[in-house]
Amino acid sequence: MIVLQDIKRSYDGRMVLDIPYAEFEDGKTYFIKGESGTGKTTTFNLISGLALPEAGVVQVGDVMVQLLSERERDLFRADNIGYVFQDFNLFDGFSAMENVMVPLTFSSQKVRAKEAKRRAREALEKVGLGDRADVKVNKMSGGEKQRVAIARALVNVPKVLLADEPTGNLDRKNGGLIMDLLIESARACGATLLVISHDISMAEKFEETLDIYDINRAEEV
Amino acid sequence: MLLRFVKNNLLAKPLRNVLVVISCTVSILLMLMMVSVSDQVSDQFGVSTERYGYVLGGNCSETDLVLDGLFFYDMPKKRLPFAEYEQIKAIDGVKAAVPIAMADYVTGTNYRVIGTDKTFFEQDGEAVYALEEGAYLGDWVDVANSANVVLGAGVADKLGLGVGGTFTASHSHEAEGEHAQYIYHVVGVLATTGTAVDNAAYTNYQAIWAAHAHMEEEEEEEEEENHAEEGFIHLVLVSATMTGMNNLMAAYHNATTVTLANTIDTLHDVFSLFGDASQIVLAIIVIVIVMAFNMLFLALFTSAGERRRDVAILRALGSNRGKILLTMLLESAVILTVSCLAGWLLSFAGMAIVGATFTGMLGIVISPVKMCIAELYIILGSYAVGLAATLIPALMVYQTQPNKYLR
Repeated sequence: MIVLQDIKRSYDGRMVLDIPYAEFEDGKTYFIKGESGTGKTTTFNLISGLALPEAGVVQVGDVMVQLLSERERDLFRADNIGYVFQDFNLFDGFSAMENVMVPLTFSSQKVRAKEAKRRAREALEKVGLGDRADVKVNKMSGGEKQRVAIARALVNVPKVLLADEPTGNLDRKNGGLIMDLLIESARACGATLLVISHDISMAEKFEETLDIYDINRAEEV
Repeated sequence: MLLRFVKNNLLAKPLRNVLVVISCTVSILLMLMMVSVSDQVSDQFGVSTERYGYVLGGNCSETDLVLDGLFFYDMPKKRLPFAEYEQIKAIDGVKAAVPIAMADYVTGTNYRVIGTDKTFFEQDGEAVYALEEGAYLGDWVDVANSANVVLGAGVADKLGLGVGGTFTASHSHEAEGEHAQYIYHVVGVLATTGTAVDNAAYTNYQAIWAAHAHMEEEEEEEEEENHAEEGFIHLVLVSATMTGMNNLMAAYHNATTVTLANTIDTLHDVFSLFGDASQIVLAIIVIVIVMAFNMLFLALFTSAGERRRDVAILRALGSNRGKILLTMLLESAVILTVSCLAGWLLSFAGMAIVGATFTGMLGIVISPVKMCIAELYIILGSYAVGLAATLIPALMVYQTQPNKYLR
């Protein structure tokens, strides 16, 4: 269970997050809708430990994220969080396989190179790119890149999968396929899936849909 | 795994990294060559002035005299009457007076045949130069059409000559056959000294006279402008006690037909000229180095936007800041290692070219493979500067807040 309680977060003196209480059940898929600048990405950053709240509690499973040191938060993120972005955020000069292996390099698990390769290949096969493992990602289409990003997010078998506008750079057909893949992948590894998207038509694929305004009460947002 | 990531990251930006490596290599190469040449030249100046405090020769500049006497740079334009040699030997406090006569080259080569005597090799019962094989030059024995000779190590090595070998001499390295009937027999080979001594052949000065007298007989009508006068030498290398030095100064203070050059003072003047030039060159190279590292800095700095994005991705994937810093430092260490290695290897070729120039210009032997401690400092300094140049942008990136750069 992910719990956000009494969260306050501001930027440059402007309150961007005011969350009295929100919870996300384990293994469930959530679609979060809302306009740009309404605190969706900040919410994700708090859950992953990339940012800290000025007040309140961020609990992921048994872990109180806001109480962890920076180093502990890095390890927590490496072991528990899978991130998928709108811009893919892959390393362009790397192959698909090399990109997927990156999280294993920084994980607390001591993964040997051979094992890392096996797991990366397995993750790529799950997203349908088993035969494209050695292709440089800058030679791939947008849909393929996002598949690589999903494989990278899954390779550490995360407890939480966060996807921030994952279909924003894809056409409708590919966007639908990617959403299906995210849901299928999250279910396969038992991860809680939180997806931020403008595309309301995708919402029906998810178990629960939330409006960011239902969570975030910050008046200035 | 981290190393693999570093390797992939380096290979992912080949053009930028190759340019940085080239810049660093050139800078390190110049620095290595500069310190090596400077070290070897000053070393040779020191070794050469250690034994002989003075050089006496015909009236000419002191610099010419010392360069000709200690490095066999050129044949002095004026000769020294043999009587002067006899006279200086007799001055109280003069420990050794070594006659030097120059005239010829080993046929077809740039190696000079130096006329001297056994004091060139042994003084007060002690060897001046170690022998590799054979024996030192003995007293002059007047044998028809031949003379004994001791070779410097470089000459023996380059010509493949050893004890028992023979050669003839010519007036210049381009000419052939002037003394074809006069045979030099190798009786000894000196051990390597790393100085100009390695690059000459040594015979009795009387042999020089005999060779030219012999040629005169064959070419009776031909005028011999430079060599045919029996009884000449070109200069005398002088070793003296403190008393001897004072006596020499007193004896030659007002001399008008001969020049007595103090080797230390003269080379100090030469070296300070060289030193000034060296300072300028060093300053230029330091500027080049600073610019190169500035380029390295800028290369990293200008790519900081991209690096910030990369770092933000890594942080989102769970990498801690220490590992990110380590990654960037490792990348620079690889670039610096490749640059240092390339610079060091290229310095051998560079030193071979520069060495040939120095030998031609000053008679100083520059070894392409001789290393000095300053080169190690250059390598270590390059690492220090390079890593520092990386550390600054790395620390800036280290402060990156990932969410600002991820979308």
